[in-house]
Amino acid sequence: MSPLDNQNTVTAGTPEWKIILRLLSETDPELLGRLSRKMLNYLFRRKIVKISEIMEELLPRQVDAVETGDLYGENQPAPRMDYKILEEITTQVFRVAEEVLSPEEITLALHRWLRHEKIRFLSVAAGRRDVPLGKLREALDRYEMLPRRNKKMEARDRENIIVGLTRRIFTDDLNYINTIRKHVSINDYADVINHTIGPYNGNGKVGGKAAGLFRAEKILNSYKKSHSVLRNLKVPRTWFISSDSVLEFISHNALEEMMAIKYARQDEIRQEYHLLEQVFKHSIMPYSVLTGLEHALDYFGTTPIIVRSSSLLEDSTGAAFAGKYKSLFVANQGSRQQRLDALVDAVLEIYASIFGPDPIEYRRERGLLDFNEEMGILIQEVVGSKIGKYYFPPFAGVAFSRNDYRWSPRIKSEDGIVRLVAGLGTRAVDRTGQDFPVLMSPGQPKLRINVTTEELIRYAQKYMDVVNLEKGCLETVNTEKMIREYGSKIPCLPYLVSLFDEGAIQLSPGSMLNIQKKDTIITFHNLLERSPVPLFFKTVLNILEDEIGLPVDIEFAYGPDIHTPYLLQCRPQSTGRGNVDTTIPTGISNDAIMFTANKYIMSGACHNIEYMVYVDGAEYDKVESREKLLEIGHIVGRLNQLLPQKKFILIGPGRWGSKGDIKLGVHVGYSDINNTAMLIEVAKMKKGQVPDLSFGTHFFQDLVEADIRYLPLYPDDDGVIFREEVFFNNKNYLSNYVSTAKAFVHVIKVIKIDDILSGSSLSVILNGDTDEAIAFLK
Amino acid sequence: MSKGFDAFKMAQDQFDQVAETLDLDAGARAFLREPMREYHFTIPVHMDDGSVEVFRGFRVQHSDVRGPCKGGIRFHPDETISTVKALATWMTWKTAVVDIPLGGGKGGVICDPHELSMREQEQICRGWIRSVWKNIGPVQDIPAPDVMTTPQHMLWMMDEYETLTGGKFPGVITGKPVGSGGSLGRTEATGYGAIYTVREALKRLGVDIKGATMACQGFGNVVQYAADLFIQYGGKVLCISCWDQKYMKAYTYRKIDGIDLEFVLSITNRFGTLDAEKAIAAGYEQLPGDAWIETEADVLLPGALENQINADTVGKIHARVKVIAEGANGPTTPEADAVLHERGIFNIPDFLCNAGGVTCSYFEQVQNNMNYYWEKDEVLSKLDTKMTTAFHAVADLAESQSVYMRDAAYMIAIDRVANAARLRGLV
Repeated sequence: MSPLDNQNTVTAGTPEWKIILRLLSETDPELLGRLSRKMLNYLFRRKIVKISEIMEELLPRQVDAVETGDLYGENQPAPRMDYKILEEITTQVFRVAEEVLSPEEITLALHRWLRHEKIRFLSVAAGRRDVPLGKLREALDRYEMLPRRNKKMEARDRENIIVGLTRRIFTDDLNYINTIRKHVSINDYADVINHTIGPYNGNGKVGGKAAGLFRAEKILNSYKKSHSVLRNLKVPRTWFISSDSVLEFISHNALEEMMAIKYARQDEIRQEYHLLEQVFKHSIMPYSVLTGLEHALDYFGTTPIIVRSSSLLEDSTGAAFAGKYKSLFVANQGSRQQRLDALVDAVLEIYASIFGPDPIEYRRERGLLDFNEEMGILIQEVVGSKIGKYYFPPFAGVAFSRNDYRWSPRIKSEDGIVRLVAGLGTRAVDRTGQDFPVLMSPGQPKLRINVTTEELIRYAQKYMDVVNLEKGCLETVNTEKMIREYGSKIPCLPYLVSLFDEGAIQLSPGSMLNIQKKDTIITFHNLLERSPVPLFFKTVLNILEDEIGLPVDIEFAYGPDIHTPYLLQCRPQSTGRGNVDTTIPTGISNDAIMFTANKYIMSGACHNIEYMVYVDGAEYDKVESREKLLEIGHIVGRLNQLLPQKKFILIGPGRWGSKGDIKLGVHVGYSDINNTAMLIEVAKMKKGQVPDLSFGTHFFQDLVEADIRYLPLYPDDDGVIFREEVFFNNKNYLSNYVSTAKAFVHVIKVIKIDDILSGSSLSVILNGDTDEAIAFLK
Repeated sequence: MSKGFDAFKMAQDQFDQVAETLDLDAGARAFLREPMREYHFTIPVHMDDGSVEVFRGFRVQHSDVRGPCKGGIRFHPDETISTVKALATWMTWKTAVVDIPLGGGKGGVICDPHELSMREQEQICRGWIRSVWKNIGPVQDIPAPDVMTTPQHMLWMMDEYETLTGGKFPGVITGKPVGSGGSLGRTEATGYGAIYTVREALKRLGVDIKGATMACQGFGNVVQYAADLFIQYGGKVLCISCWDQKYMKAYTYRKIDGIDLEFVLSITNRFGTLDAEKAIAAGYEQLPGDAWIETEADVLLPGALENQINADTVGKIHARVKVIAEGANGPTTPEADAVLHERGIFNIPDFLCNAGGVTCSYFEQVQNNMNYYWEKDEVLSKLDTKMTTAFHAVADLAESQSVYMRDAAYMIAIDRVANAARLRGLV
């Protein structure tokens, strides 16, 4: 007898579940259908054989039909069955349930599922890709308001909602969805949506940068229990502007013609851009965005904020857009109206940057021009504290899970690299050329690039970026002056500085008494030797790379102490500067290959090389006088000035920049090589011994900041190609450039790539992940 | 190894020439041509990753006939025994020319501190001492910091030495920070020392230092203190030069009526680079890097780099120049030296002119041994006495024998060492 039969015979003894079912069959058959499917799964999970048999009977599988030569096979649509079959299934499911389960168990299950039904609105909202922002917010609010017991749902429903919300708010990228799903809760999304500004009916997302940061934060949060070093990790308080707000802004101000700018010529774009920026700044922000910004300002108070681009294309795999769009600091001081104006200005400037020449060129190069780019925005509180009239974090920077600049063969690519600076991280993100961050490899924190007093001073950070609260702007100040003025009021100072006294450096400053009166140098010595910070980076970078499955880079700031790191950004690591493809090409003919290498490779690439400058190791070895050896260094320095900038590479024996025994390598200073695209050291076996190379240590940090790639070559190693004859069989242009160098034509060769193969240039690709490098003509 | 360029052979050739001039007997020549003792040893170190690396260490004691050996310890991946032997030899002549009761030594370890953690470096320092502690000490051989070694390395070494000997012997090593056994006046020593010799040279030439003018190459520690003292004496510094990292170029900054040192220092960074804009704004001429050498001045002080006075530049030296004081090591090439000699320009050779540093190291060790420390004025006044006496001894010899100052300095140094060996009955 079916549990749904005998509708008129409810008696005192009728189990509650039957009464519920009967009521539903009359009032809400769809709900009844959903409950019966839940019961079906429930019974499957309980491994009730009978339920499988009944299902088999009611819904024969296609494969059975083919085998029996029936009407339909796998390449034809399955026939629609009678609607009644679904009712029959409901009946049969509950009949089996009645047989194998107790009435109490069935009733309890139904209660639970009916409670789940109360949050069905959320699955509905999350399931719609175009659900308006306002509706989604309402649904999430409603969910938030539910009592805790009513928030329970089945795991698969939860997963479905999470995937739906991820698609709606962040991205459709499947890798992203897969890596994040097990680390997030619905509340996490509610938190984002509650801090998202945008048109009520809009269906934009929060953009790539926001997505990257959200994912990294959630992944790391789920490791906090097992990794104590992560426990205090935070993300600054953040508001988001949805990506379609920019479209709303454009249509609100009738600026639609801007959308075609991307198809203009590069010089036209460049010409028009500054005007466009001003046009934007003098347009009107739509009301929905404006009120949202006011809310955000109330939320932040007068803490300085940073407005960061977060476009849809940004930070996606394969196109990191590193530094292509803007990030702008807003001091957030003055009257409410002044603060709002400044914030709006910043947002509009970032909007305008969609039409900037550099991002458009970047997109053109990567075939992304036709993509409908939208610009989400992150408004983040600046991490830091107020010190005098300034506001800044004690230190900040960027970290990469892969180290493309290894200064010692002991450092592996996966040891990672961190660029640390005192003050705001802007100086670590950008390369200033004249000022230096401290570099640290979290896998080998004890191996320093700079060890001598001269190096520590030479490569010390001399300026720091801070927010000037009085002037309301970002300012670069002299580090030493700051320390003299504010001394130990600057948090973490003993971890950042060493003392310079009587011509020598006291690395660990010890007592900070009267620090204002002492000579200080930023070395981060105590931070690297005596703090959990190196371990923190090692942990974070390992976890993120493992979970995301790609090398990553992060931006961070610390404050107010060394135990409180803030994550500011996380994205796939772009190799080299910008986004260089370091995939080793295949199928290059042997004739076109100039050299290959297979150890100690740091990722990067150089293209369009027109000249190779080669110092022949055997001939260099034969030079007898020190004066002549020095002269070779001078000639290289002259060539460095005369050859086209970054269009040549330097190849020489042993240790470039040797100072002591200059037989071991050409004696040059950084200014003698600063225009080269690449510095190559050749370790050719001499009397059965392979000489040690310098790994560029003599000017390593200069190379890093100028983005000069370094490559060690071991021509005697197995599987390595080194076409040395190329340097002897082609015309040597040395005397054309340096007329006084005639005596050295046998030692220094200046080879034009065009002579080797007419119309070609040299490309060198270095891949640190696979430890391979190749130089070839193309 | 390379066959062409051999540092020790160069040092020996130089010695042979002077020995010939001095007509040294064969025994003394044979004795001084070679180091008295050479220690080669291995230093096993347990690396941070658990592996063991074995480093090669050296200590060369060229001569201790005038007193305990003195010389630095270098950490360098390109280190060779030939270089260490050559440098130890030169240390013997340097201590002798300023007449301090010390000999010459040098040491090193083949290693690159860039590839070693601090802990690993500490193990190398301690291992170095464990190998030679019986052969060094305040009365035997006193090391100091050198290429890629720092006061920190010296303190580890001193600590290891004291642990092994069971006493307090800060005098085993010099170059320690003030407060850990270092001497006051060390920062000023080289620059001031150079000007003490310049002052005496001008006296001999009959030029009043008051109103005399000087052009300097470089603006590091040496030139800064040299300029300070020269101005205190009433002289005028017309120009200094410096490397500008930003523009990758050297510049000379000139002020014909004399630089205002206090102002110039206030716009100079730790590397001795001036803030070009501020200098120009204050009326300083910004000239090419080698313009210092053409300046119409009484004294030229090459104070930072090697080979600045060479065949190309020597001709540019102004006729007014009377004295060249070699504050830097090896600023004059042999070709240029010949021209200077011919022109009769008074040369104060590097190993005399810049010996203020090693003299102050000697003072550090003296203070350590008596465990009583002088005030800075006392250190500097003792330095003045030493430098002045040493200078006149060389100048007197140069005058009486009519030889070039550089040759006289070598002659006096080698003669002193040879004489000490002879008196001891060694040769």
